[in-house]
Amino acid sequence: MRTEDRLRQTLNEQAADVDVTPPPWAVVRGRARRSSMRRRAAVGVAGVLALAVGGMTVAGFNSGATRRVTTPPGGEATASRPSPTTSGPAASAPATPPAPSFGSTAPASVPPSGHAQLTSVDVAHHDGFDRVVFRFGSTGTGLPGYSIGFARGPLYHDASGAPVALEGSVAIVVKMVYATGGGTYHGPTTITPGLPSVLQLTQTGDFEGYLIWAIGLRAQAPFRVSALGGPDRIVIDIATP
Amino acid sequence: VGAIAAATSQVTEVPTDAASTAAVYQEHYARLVRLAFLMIGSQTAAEELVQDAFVKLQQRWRTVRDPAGYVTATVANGARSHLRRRRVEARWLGAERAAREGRDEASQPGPDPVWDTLGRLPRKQRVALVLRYHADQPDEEIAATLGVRPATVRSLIHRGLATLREETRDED
Repeated sequence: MRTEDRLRQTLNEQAADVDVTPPPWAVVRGRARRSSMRRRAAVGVAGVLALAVGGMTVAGFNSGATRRVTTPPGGEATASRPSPTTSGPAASAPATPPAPSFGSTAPASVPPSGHAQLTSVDVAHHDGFDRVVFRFGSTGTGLPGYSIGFARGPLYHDASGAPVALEGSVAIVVKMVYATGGGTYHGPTTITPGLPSVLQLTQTGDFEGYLIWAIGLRAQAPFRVSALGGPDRIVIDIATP
Repeated sequence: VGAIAAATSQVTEVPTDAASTAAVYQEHYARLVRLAFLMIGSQTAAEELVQDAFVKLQQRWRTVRDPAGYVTATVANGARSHLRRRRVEARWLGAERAAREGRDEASQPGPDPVWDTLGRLPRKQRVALVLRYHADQPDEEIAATLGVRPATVRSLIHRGLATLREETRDED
């Protein structure tokens, strides 16, 4: 038999073995609606370091992959603890502020009470994703606020402005606010695990309350973020090909 | 009030994209899942690909001229991306997985040598062969889908068939 005919026959046999029951169109359409909603949500927060607003976003892997996740300092996981932004004079204010009484001309400010203290950075491959874990010590304020998203241009070290050398074709920037590794983080500031997705991590800044790490990826991949307590940690899972 | 009512009814009379997509979906879903399965060899992944293609179709309904052709091309290109990802994954995890399971899956041939060989062909060749010998598409249509010239399609099919012929010669 000619190769073409054998191939045709094999394809027909294999196709005949596939038993297909189409799911209701509404179900498939539901996927469309959800994905476009996610896209709109992503546009809403993309590019903005909106640390003062919004709750914590924890989502599954998104095929869009360029989503940015932001939370205020002391997010959901630290809700029981006074967070840095609300400590100080404002901490005693009730949850629903009363109508303002214009009684004073004194300046109002809310100083941060301290910093989250980074103790370790771990990276490992799991089934289907690479996991990066930033762990924070109990002596600090717990979890910092964070903003995590793909870098939109070249990376520079915070304060010095020196270009960042990082392996990989794209980078996820992990910006943590009211956080520091000074005195508590004794690990390397560049880690090269060479995993399927994560090639290299490096600290690009620990300056004036901003602790910044960049994760160099082999290629752009969807990621998800979870903020966990006990011990406090920020977990970033990056899908592997 | 009358003007507002008229305007409202006009809006509701516009045919929805969803209804039109649903018709194409009913007609082509099963065929496309089979086509995708032949390209990637996994039914679960094939169904995902096809559903994603319909989701895309609905989003671009207004600009798509040939819905059936559009979803077919989207599925074919989705299959290529899928195969590319899977090859990267296999390269990274292949050694580890083989060691864990104590055997090399690829070295165990299935009952049909043509199907086995098809699964080992370069992904563009495989997709081109399936489009030609299962979907019966002409060179020009395959070329448009793959984004290459028709001459390249002829070459892909020629090389794919040559490998199939070579690899299945012993069984004749």
